[in-house]
Amino acid sequence: MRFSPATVTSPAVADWGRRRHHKCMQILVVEDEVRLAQHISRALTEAGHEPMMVHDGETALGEAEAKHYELIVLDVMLPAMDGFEVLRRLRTAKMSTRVLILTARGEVSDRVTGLELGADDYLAKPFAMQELVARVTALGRRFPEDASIRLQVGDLVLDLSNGELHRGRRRIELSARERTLLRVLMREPGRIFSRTELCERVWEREHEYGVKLVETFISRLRKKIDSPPVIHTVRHLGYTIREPE
Amino acid sequence: MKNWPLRWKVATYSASLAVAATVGGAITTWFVMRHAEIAAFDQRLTTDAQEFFRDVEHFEGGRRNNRPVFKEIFLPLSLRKHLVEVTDESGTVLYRSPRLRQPFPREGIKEFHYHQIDGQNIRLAEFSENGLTLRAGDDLKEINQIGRDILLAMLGAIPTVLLITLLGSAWVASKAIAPVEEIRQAAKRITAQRLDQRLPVPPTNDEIAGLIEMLNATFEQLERSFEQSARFSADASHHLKTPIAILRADVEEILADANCSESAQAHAEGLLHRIHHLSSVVENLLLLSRADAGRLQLSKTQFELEDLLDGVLDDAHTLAEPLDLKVEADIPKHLLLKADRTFVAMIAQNLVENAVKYNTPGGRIRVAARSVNGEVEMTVGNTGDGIPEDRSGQLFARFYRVRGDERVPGHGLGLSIARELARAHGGDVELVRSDASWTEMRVRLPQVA
Repeated sequence: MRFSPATVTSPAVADWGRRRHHKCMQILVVEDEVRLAQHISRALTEAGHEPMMVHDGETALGEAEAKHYELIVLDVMLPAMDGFEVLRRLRTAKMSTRVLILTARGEVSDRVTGLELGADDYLAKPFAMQELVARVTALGRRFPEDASIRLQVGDLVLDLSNGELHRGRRRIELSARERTLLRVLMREPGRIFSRTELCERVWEREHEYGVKLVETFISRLRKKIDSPPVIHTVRHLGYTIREPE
Repeated sequence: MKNWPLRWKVATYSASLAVAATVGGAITTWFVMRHAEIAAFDQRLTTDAQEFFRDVEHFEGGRRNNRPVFKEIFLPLSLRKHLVEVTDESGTVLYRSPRLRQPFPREGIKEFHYHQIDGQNIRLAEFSENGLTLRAGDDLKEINQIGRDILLAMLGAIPTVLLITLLGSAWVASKAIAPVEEIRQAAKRITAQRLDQRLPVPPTNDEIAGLIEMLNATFEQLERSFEQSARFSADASHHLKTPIAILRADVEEILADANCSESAQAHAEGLLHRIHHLSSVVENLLLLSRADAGRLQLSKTQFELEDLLDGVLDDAHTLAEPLDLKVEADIPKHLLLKADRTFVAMIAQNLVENAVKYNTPGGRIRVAARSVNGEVEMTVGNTGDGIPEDRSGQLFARFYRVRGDERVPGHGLGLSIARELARAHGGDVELVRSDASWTEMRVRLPQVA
């Protein structure tokens, strides 16, 4: 998936899907909804991976045994054998392939069950496709990145331990939401976040004025930190944070 | 006594009954015995009198002037210990018991009756034969004494009776209600998570067995309906969220497609947000359905309320600015709360959102919190038109909106969800005031749930 530079009003975001030089992974996508499976496969292919689609648990187990996959994207609600059962059998068979669980339920117990059975990550439907790609990429790193307590983009540094933000030597005060918003952007520099996705990330539930608030907070953040600009608007797509060139 | 355990109630009732029975028994016994003793006394006196007259009649010395001769020796010994008076035809006293200081009455004593003599109640009668008259009577001291002794003995037993029946019936009652206690314990174990459990049915055919069978049938129905609603929410999740996920992926692809026109992309951007709205409606409905099934899972952590409200207040300030609203906050520092953070944030966000939404330009919002009796009490107040009194009852109903105004966003689930979430924590959300000048909602949450 590539965004055309034509839609970018701020300096071009080049090749953002592959902005990190991560390796190409063999990924098994287990999702009974063919259309969703196709979307996932396409997004993963765009991101430089090699996905393989299957639509039921039995086939998934056979496929996982027959061929070496580095990652399995596994839907929980599958016909006949559900995702948890597939995961349990995989782990019983001593297969340590990383597993990203997809579920529609989004209940605490589901997350806990998944993680207890040995899933490596968990994503609730409906998700932003870029979120799925980002999670897959994170799981693909041989050594998981430390949950860093300092996020840095150029000379912009956010210390997560005390919430302090510095641009170079200048200390910048942030409000609660500004800090959350900036943290989301800075965790994945270069990735474009739609307003909708930012709404989902910043508020616990849908905020009726979410989009308006995102725009207001972004413009406040810009006033505070943008010289030279680091937060860029990508028309119709959303916002991204990048080191100034 | 209403609040006493059943077995002590039973024990008290039976002990009272036993005491009443003992007292009743004592009185009856006393009455019957006294009656019998007096009858025997009358009989004895009559026999003695007859014996006396026989002795007089058969005296060898015969008669003097055709009249029987009286000698003291004729009086039987058993008669002499009572009060006795013997007179002849002319009324001359031939003998009088030394104890008798006053003469017996002469009239109205043909049969046994009580008479007051010398201040004493004397039972006496008169017997006549061959010109001699014998009057005999007694104050019945002995009989009275026996009666009193019996009465005392039986009443003296009351404490013992009381103690034995109290303890005994408490024991019997606890034996009798033991199955009920078992039912209570077992029913307590059978909660929403373990509805598959059943109470063991005893092999008897008594009331308890009937009760257990009925309870088991009820549990079965409950289990079925819980299962159905649980399955519904899981199925509904899947069947609603998967299509939304596909829809979202479709729209995201349009957004990412460089060949699409700008207007199509602008359209897609709006669509993406409506999909977000749609999925949050679905999420809310599922949350409510889980709450209804009693299956809302709380993952509790400890946090400071101030931290959580920081963001919510930040939103309020930001939204308030263009509307010229004043936001006041009175949140104590370090007010700790152990609860599901996400859910508490949802409650707070909803109330503050409403406070902005239903405000009037130039108005005011006030968010306050405090700790009262182990509960955190948070109030969110705002100026505005207020909720009409006839509508405040439906305020927490699902899909209910006070004003059917399309310009005001929302789908009418917020408050009902806020209330369900608070209740799942053992707290509540209530409307405490609403008039033309001020509307205030209050959230109560146990500080350590």
